[in-house]
Amino acid sequence: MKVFDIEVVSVSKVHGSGASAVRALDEVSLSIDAGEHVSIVGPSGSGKSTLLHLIAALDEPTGGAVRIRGCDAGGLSERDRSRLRLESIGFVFQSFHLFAGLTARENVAWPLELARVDRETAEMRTDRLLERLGLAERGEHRPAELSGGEQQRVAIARALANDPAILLADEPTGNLDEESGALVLDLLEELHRERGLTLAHPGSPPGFPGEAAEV
Amino acid sequence: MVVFVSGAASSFERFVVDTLLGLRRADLYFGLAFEAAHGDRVPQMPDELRREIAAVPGVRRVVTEAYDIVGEPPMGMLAIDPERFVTDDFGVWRLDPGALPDALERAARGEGVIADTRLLRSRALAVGDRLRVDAPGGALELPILGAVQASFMSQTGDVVMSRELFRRHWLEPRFTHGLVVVEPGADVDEVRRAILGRFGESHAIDVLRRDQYVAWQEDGVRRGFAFAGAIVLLVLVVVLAGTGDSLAASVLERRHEIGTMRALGAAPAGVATMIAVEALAIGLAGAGLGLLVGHVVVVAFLRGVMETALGWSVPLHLDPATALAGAGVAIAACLIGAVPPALRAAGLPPIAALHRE
Repeated sequence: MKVFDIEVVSVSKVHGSGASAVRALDEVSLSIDAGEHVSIVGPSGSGKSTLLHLIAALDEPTGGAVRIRGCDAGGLSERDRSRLRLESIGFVFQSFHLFAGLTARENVAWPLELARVDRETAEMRTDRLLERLGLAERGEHRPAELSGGEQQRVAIARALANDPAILLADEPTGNLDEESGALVLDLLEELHRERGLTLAHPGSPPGFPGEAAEV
Repeated sequence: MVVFVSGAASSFERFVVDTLLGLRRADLYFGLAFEAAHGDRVPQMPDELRREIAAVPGVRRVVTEAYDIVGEPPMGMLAIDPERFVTDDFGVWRLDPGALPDALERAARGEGVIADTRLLRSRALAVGDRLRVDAPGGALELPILGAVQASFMSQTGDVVMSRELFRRHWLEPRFTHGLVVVEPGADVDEVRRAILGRFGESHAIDVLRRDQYVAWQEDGVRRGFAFAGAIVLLVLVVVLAGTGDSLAASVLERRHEIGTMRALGAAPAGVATMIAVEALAIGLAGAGLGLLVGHVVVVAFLRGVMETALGWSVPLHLDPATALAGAGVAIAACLIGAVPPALRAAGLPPIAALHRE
């Protein structure tokens, strides 16, 4: 039986309960192969972000199953789901979610410390990522001292720190101007190609460079 | 606060016990089994008992004390064998500066009394003044020959006089308790058992070794400081609530940051540990600062209040074990206070925390 990197089987998600319940997803299924680049398309409020959160094991479905590289995320303990996020999934948020008190370098190194990567390797990986993302000169700056585009690049570097197989980007350009957004999208596409990342993001990105293999 | 309260209490306890024992250096102490159990200490033992105990094998010397509360306003009256004023065998007298010449010799002869500083302060008297007191044998005016630090026998201050003077004017030949010095080489416990065996039941007395007597005195002082325990407990409750409240507020404020940590792969236990480490840091910093500030405040209290206001030179006695135990308990209180916020932080669903921006 073929094992997909991401497999979503009849997933439903209801937010809230009773009269105020909102059905964000209803029996959604999809499968994404390793190394694929997928755009999840739909109108605003159609549950694209919710689906990404479920794939990232950040949230639990009301029904159905999400399998990451053959492993049912719903059957995992909270600890194992955390480990799955740490080791296999990189997540880029629309609003960056950087740690304000840490420098760019420290933000990138944070997941490496969490994964108990030895100091030498962690420093090497951090340097490489900052270099690759054009932030070599900005490593000692705190998020408040960086532009929106730079902050998002730091967030991407952080998401890639533990060398995940899957990168999920939730509206990564939503808080950026057009030019910075385009640069970030270029970068994601390049990283997808260089690293063979499985990349998924919502939205129908006008001008998204390189074509998503599936929409 | 814990360091201040325990430091002030232990300094005062040591001061009181040292003062009480300073002129009572002996191997054995005997009294009505044992004094406290009989309520107010009043002279009840006949003088013959002193001679009988002196005859017990192994006993070298016996001296006695009669103690009573007399007069109005009341004061403590400690009557001791005259020889104790002029020998150092049972302790060394440390009269405050300004004592009259030959004060101790004159006290031994019954020509006046030695008063403690508390009595002098409360009655606005000074060395050289005359203390007026009504005795069963008639009104008396006793010259104050010298002063000593507070003796802590009574709450209102004490005078020390010769037993002969006390016997003459208060018509009281009995005594309250006695001190025994054993012969060199004699077994103190054996002498104790011998005294108890002969007089324990017949005179309803108990006999304590020095260590037992010290412990009994310390216990009495500690009972007086029972409130210190309540204050320490109150402080710990405040620490517990304060740390819990402060960390709970911090968790609430940092929901977003905690959500990010969880989204990046931090396990719930890791988040809880982080909060606990913060509590530990707060506890360590607080304990360190508390030890320092507490030390300064207790010194200021002893020098400022005790010495300046009351005239008592209370040496600082800060038991390191107690101070460290206090710090340890404060740190433990911080950690306990951190449990609810730590559990709350660990239980935050990552996506819910991230959505609350």
